[in-house]
Amino acid sequence: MRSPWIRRGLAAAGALLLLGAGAALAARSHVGRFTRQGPPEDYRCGRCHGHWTLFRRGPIREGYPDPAGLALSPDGRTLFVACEGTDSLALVDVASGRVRAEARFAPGSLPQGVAAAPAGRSVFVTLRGRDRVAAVDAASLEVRESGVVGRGPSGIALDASRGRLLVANGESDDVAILDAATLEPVRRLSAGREPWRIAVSPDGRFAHVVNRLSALHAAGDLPVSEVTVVDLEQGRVRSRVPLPSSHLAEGVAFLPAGDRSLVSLVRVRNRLPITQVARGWVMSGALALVPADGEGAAALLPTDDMDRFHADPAGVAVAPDGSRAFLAAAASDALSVIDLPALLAAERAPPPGDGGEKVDRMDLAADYVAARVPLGANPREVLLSADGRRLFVSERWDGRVAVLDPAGGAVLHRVDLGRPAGGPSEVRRGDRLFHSAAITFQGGFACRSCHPDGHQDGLVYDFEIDGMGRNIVDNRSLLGVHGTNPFKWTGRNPGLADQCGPRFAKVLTRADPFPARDLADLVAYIDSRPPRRGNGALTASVERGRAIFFRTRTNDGREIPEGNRCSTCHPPPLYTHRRSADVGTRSPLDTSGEFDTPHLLGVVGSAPFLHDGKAPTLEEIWTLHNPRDTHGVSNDMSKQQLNDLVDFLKTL
Amino acid sequence: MDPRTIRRAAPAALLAAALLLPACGREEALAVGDGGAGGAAAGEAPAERPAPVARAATALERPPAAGAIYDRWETIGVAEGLPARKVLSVTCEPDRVWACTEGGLAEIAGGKVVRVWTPADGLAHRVVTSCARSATTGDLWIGTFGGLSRLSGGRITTWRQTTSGLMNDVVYGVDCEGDRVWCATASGLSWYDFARDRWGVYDHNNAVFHEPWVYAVTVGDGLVWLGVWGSGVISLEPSTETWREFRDPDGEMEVELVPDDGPVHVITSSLSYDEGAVWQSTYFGVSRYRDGRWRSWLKKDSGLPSDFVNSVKARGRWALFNTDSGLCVTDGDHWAVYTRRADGKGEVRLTRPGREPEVRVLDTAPPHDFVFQSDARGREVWIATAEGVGHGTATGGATMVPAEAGGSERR
Repeated sequence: MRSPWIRRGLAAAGALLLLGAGAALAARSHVGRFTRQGPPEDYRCGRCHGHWTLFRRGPIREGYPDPAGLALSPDGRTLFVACEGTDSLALVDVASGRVRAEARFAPGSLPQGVAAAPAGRSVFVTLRGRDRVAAVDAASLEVRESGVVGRGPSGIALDASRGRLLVANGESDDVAILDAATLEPVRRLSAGREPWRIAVSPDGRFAHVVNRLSALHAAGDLPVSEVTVVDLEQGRVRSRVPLPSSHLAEGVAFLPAGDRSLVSLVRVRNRLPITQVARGWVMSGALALVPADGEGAAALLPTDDMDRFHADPAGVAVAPDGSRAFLAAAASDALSVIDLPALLAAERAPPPGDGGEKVDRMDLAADYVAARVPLGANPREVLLSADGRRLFVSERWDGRVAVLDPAGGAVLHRVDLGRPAGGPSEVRRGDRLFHSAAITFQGGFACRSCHPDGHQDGLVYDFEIDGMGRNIVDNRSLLGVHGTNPFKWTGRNPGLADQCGPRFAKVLTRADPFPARDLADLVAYIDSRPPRRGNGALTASVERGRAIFFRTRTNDGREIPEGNRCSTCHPPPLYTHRRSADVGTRSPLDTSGEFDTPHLLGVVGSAPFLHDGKAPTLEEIWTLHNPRDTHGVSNDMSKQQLNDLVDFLKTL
Repeated sequence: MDPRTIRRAAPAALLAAALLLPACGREEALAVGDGGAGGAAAGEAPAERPAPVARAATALERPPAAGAIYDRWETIGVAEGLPARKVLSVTCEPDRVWACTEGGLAEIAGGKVVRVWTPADGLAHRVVTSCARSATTGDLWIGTFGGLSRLSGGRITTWRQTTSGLMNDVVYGVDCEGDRVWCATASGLSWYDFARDRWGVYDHNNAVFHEPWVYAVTVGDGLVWLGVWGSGVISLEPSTETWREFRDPDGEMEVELVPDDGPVHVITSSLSYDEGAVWQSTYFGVSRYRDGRWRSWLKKDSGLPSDFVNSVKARGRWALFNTDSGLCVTDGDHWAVYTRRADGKGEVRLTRPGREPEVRVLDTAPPHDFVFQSDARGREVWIATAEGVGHGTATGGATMVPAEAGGSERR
């Protein structure tokens, strides 16, 4: 023992022992804190943190610019491009077609929408990932940020005469009105579901807000989206113009006369069996003419051809002289040039004699679609210069902006926003496939058509593989699915390769399946998508809800059977035990009562709920669909406890 | 009567009364909340904790400081387009009046019913108790017997106890402040933060309530004021969740043993706040809380026509008490009671300090003496009665406060 080496060795062993004991205690405490369980049998880090996606708060950043919103400076010399992929605003010299400067935002900002002040140097950018709006000085590139304006701000428009900004908050389903000078909030107006883009009428009286998702509705009802019409003078919602059987309205522009707006949308017939894909009866593109003051119904007209779809209609622009409109078909890599007078004539024409609707006539678009201009990959945003002589279209996947001659539709040149060296990674290639309709029958739709942003469209579908009208299933998010296999509500697909493979082609796309390499790329892309974020609230209610989620006893002290505790089937960190369970939600049209247990990450934005979407809100899972405590023990809860539980779930 | 018996029986009786009992005589009535309307105001910066309550300055013109004598009355009833005879509350806005009826929500503009909303339009229930406009969004929030509805952009969205965090589908009253709508329900108080889609609830389990029935909620003076059955008047400072309970200190249910020692009774039927004062109505008299002091009135010692008071609406320095025996307008000193005579003419009885009570006969009359609720703007008053909406107008220059007392009454 006198040897210093022995003493040092013993001291080191003792220190290690103490360190290990301390770490073990800390781990126990940490696990107990987050699970509300007693000392667990297994508290290794990998038990909960083995899934690397949990550590990321945003998508993989590979240095691609992913251009989103576009705007022009008052003099038309500078094009502003929000680059979602590089958290920057590119200032492009229109004459030379080169990026002359770049304003940088904090990592994870995900800049999305852009609006330029008609005078001065301010450019306003929504920072979708950080819930803020930035004002960029176009000369000094100085960035000034607002406070939180809502959740997921995307579209932005300037009400110049009143000095106000209108911001569409896609995740909090509202429109923030800000003071353009101070960026201070003035009002928050309720919008539809996932408000996306905004346009202000030429006379400055109204703003039209297009919403991507249909309103929450009872199972069995048709989805109805809306155009939210804001009275700018009053600062109130004046009207909500319904868009029946429609969703994914992502583009809006006013006609020069100012009496109506043109809205791009997807006409969806999700209650029809998927066998109708071949007839264009499941989803097709359309334009809606919406009265500026919101009084009256919208007129819907189709935009696809009889034998070819132009999928994922996105940005819209209208020529100042009212001769043409331009519509990006994001999943078809094309731009549709619309003869506007012909479109309006078609709208005025008598309805078809068969009692149907014009929007369902696939032969109608030929009367007013003047041209289809091929473009680069994933064109989304469309912007026309004030004089109508230049048309700018963002090509998201290519990282470029195409500059076109609106008269002839010719691409004059492209603005390269930069890209990383080397070829695209498999994730990037998968991104391309995910957003392309090339794989589906007649280019009808892309993966993204039902999974905008990789998430879900809030609808239920009838996959006739189980028999028509049977086994209606809620569309599930593809965000955060890494490690949550098996997939499908039946849990039949052990991995994403099975989910997106040949069976998928047979059931859904009605075309050749993805080649093996493409399938691997697509799986890599989906696997890379992080979960949708929760609402981030850390309140006393959330803490109480966490305790309820992990509780083992009822309010009167009875032990809850282990199999009937929330945390048994939805254990952290994924909040799924990846097995099927019968929670008593089977309907008469279901073949089985056993369903795959979904993960709960980002559940706040995943309505409706349960396998067939029968619960439009989280509360209904327990208030209406758990009468016998088969989906966890909930019937002993007070209203406050249920509210607390819901508050906790919304943070996941 | 044993107080406990009252406590057990009254809620059911009150509920049943509003729905079932004939609209006449001294019947028990529904307690309806204050549906204050807000005007334009700046919104609030998003924050995790709610900002202190700041009520938006209302654009609604208040009654004259000297009070108005409403000498001309007209009725808007079923024949004029109301969806039901029984009207539970009215809410005035600068350009319209909302009538909450047993058959839906009616919008009155230019003296006519211009639109009616019913469950077919998405309204939570046909029995509408109250409504209040959010100054933040401009939306109208509507309390019903089947949940909470919102009228926005001409469309109605509904929240129920099974589909949301709403405490109970029976919503007696609503009021708005900032990003929150407050709901007085049959099982407690609910708030909904519509900007953050978050709910909160308070009842006898987590607040100072003695019972769960919240009959009224009104926002004012940085506080949320609650009328809770059996708990008198309760104030809540929402950002700190600081509660204060005002109960009748003498503890007597049947008599006002010590005057002005607190709320006149613990069974509050309604509350209303304006200009620094909270007015309380009960089925046993009325009270006012101002400058830290309570003052109470009973029929026997004031111009109040009845101790059975369905609700109260504060407008400026004046309170409109809605009783089973007519509308009573008072500032605590001057009293005017409007009733309908057997011959179909109207009558206003004035009780003023230092003067003999005076009765004036009016050519026109309110529709009914059973008044559920009322509201006033400028020189107009609107009353919700058992026989439709009454619209009173002060056509002359007569005021309740005589000229020698600072008013400008002309005879």
